[in-house]
Amino acid sequence: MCNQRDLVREQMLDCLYDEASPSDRREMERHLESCDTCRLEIRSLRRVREDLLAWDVPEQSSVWTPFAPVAVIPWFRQVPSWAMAVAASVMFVVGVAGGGVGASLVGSDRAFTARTPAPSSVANVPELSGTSQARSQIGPDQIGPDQIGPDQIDPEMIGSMVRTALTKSGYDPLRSATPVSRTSSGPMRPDPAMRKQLEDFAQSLIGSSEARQWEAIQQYLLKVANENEWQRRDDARRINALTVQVEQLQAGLNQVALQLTRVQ
Amino acid sequence: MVARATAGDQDAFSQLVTRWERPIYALAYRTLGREEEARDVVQDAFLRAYRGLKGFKGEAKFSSWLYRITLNLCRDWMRKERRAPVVQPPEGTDAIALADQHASPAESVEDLVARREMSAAVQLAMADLPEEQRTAIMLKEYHGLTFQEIAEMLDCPLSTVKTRLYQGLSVLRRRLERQQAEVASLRRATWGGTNTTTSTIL
Repeated sequence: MCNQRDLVREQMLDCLYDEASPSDRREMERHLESCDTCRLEIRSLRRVREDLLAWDVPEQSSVWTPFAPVAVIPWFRQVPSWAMAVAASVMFVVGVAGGGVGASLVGSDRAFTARTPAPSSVANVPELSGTSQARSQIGPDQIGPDQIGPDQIDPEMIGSMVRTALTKSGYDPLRSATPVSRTSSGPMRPDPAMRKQLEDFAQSLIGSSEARQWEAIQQYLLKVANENEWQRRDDARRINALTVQVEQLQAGLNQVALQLTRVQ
Repeated sequence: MVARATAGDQDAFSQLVTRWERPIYALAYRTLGREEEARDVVQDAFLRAYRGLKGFKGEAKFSSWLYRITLNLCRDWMRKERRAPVVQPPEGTDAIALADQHASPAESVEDLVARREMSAAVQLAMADLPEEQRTAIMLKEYHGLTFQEIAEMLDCPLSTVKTRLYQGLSVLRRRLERQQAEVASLRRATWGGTNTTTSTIL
């Protein structure tokens, strides 16, 4: 080995492993032409490298299996718990909205009045008609905007819905694949079609990135909310039409009652 | 693919495992010298990598990160077992058995015998090296990392890596030359100085 031992050794290794710059390589080649020691050294190092290639590694089958059992795990265990909770909250929101529409129909005193007219109470007729007229239409503010915008759905809202849904429904996606049984006084049980739709949706999220899942959840929530809104508007229109018919019927009954009174 | 795996895509991570399982196993096997333990280390290394993916910032190459995890696990294992790398007993040079196993038409049985002998000799010589030199040689020779990558992985200066590599190769050269001389001497003593080949044995 020559005097500049360390420097030459580093350059020699760079050349040996093809990491030398072109200029360093040329410099080393010039050096090797004049230095027998270094020439022998680099030759023996090349020979050792060739010998090292003889050490092979036994063939092995794959040792990586942690993901293999996934196939036998029920799908709902693969869905992130927050996604399941959001899906549950969607069901809850739909149920509450449906209940609200139902309540607006069933809870109205107008409907009961129409079903139980008092033919003999002629004095009530004008008031009844007037009251019915005043209440017969559901105002635009009750129908709401045409469409719910994406800006109306944010993660905080989803989080709030999730908490409400979990608290009120007792639904625990990690313990059970199906919602817990509910009494008739409890929240609505989703119909099979809706449940299937939600399952398909939740399954489609498996394997997606978290950002993609959030986006999909948001879009789904938006779609459901808009569908629900359209359904509510449609229901309101039908209620209005029915109310008008009931009022006409009621007016006719009042006329009959009045004539009967006169005949008597 | 690494980005997808980091984002939680299991398929992407499985593809990374498929890509890197063999090199990681080779590193573990050459470090520990035991197949079973090397398999355990590979399993552990990928589990750690999977759990730690969120912390992988992409500053280093994914492969370098995996190598570092593997080396740390090997080091832990050796410390726990208080063991140096194990040298597997050299496989027999039974020429008839080798001829039966021999499947590659490109390699003669003589070459196969020689390669196995050399493999055992290299394994023996490597096992005697200090850990730093052995690691530098393994990462450079068998995994093709650059000097810079090795220096970053081992947290040491570039010149230190080169010194370790050079010293390790020098020691190996001397040991291998000595072993080859001993084998040649043994053959001369056994076969009366003839240049024995497998074909003459058969």
